Amino acid sequence: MADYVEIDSILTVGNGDSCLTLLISEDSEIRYELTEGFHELLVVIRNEHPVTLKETGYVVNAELKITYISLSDSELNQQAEIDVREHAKLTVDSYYLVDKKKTVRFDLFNRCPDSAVYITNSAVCLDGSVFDLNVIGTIVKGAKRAKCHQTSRCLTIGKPKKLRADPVLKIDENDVEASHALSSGTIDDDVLYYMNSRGLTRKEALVLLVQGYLLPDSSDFQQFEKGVELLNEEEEKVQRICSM
Amino acid sequence: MSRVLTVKDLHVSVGDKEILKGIDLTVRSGEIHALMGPNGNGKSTLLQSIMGHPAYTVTSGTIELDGEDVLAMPVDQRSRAGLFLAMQYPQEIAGVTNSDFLRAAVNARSEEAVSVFKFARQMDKAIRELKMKEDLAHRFINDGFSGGEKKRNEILQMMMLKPDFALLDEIDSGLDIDAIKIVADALNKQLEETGLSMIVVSHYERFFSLLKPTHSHIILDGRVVCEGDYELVEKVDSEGYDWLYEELKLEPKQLAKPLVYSLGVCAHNLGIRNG
Repeated sequence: MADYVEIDSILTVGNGDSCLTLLISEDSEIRYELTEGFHELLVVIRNEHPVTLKETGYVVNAELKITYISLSDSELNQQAEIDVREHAKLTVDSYYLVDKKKTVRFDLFNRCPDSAVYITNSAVCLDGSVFDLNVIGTIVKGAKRAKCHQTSRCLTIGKPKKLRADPVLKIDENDVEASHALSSGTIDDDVLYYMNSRGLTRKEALVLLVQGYLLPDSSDFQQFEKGVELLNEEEEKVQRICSM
Repeated sequence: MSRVLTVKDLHVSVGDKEILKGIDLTVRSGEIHALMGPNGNGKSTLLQSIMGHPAYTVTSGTIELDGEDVLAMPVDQRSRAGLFLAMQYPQEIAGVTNSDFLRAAVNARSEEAVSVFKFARQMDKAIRELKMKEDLAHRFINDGFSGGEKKRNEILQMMMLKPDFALLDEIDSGLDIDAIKIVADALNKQLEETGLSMIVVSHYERFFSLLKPTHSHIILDGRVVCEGDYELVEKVDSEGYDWLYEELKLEPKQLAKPLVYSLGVCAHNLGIRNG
């Protein structure tokens, strides 16, 4: 399979893919069953109309790192259900720019001993937007030495209609490591003043701040064919949306 | 081109409290004005008001740049018009690198975008002159910087933006002896090359001795009460401000004492007591 795929229906990822960029622009479903090796997925969601993205998968004796980037101003409904089994590690980084409405739900399960889940979500919610983020980490009974750590941070610009970020941990085992952290806030007026005092307008300052807050360092994605190019295009998108 | 910044009868309040009570100041190209006075008498307020900090309300008076009304300009326009404030407490901005920020700021004041190569060359040169760390361009703005690094970074921004008027608010505080010399050299070089004018707030003659101000002013209780040349700086350094309080029959201002609460065994208790 090529390491860059535009999908518009169902994509099944197998053990052979170690570094894959997915471009999502239509309703799509991703499925995977990873049983060995180290895998990286860069999922760029670029939609002009409302899109639903479903994802189901399990990881066992393998490591999976997924990065989601959704900066389009159209609606998104994203649902992911991932089982992390013995000696498996899942790392999720997600970035959302919310102009209209985005609903995101992650159900992450530590099913077995020595499984590890790390998830970090970053969102910038613009004036009048709706963002609903649910991250539910479940450590089942018997999943000894399991790890589940969640961090979510949301930056608001203007007055979003609704911002709901709900980090949940359900733990049914004693011998585990788990944490969740959530922060939300707006841009400090003194920061804006500082940037204005160097000649940047409010909009120019906001673009820099949002890009800095939201976009991952593209040098981390050098290994993805097409990945850096896509990220650079997303950077321009932030500029356009924040300048409106 | 010779430029002039004029402040006339400036009154500034923060909330209900009047801080500046009628300041007059005229600064022309190439002049260095030392602004002195005890803490809490309005020096920083004057600089922030010139730059346009929204917390400071100008209740009367004027600020003009070559006859143009500065008070009618938003902050970013004041900057592009040639004003630069090196802040006493520079902001830390995680996520935005120094080079991205400065390139955007440089581009904001020129009709054509500066080439990446030219910008990088200028920035590297400024970093070397200020003896800063080579990776500065790629670090986030003031994030994790020491106090001295932040102050040098303010001067680096000034060197890149090339303003006509630099307002330096205690830029020497937090700098070690060598760094003070480096910063003063950079300022003098800028003066030589661009005719930069400066309004310099400092408590230390050492810094002024390296800059050699052409004018000096002492602010007490929101007013300029004494003006002179470099000799006035030396007099303040050796005698302090007592002679001035005596001459003007003024009482030294009592700075507000911080309120200290005992939280007891639990902060919750204080919340309950205070309703």
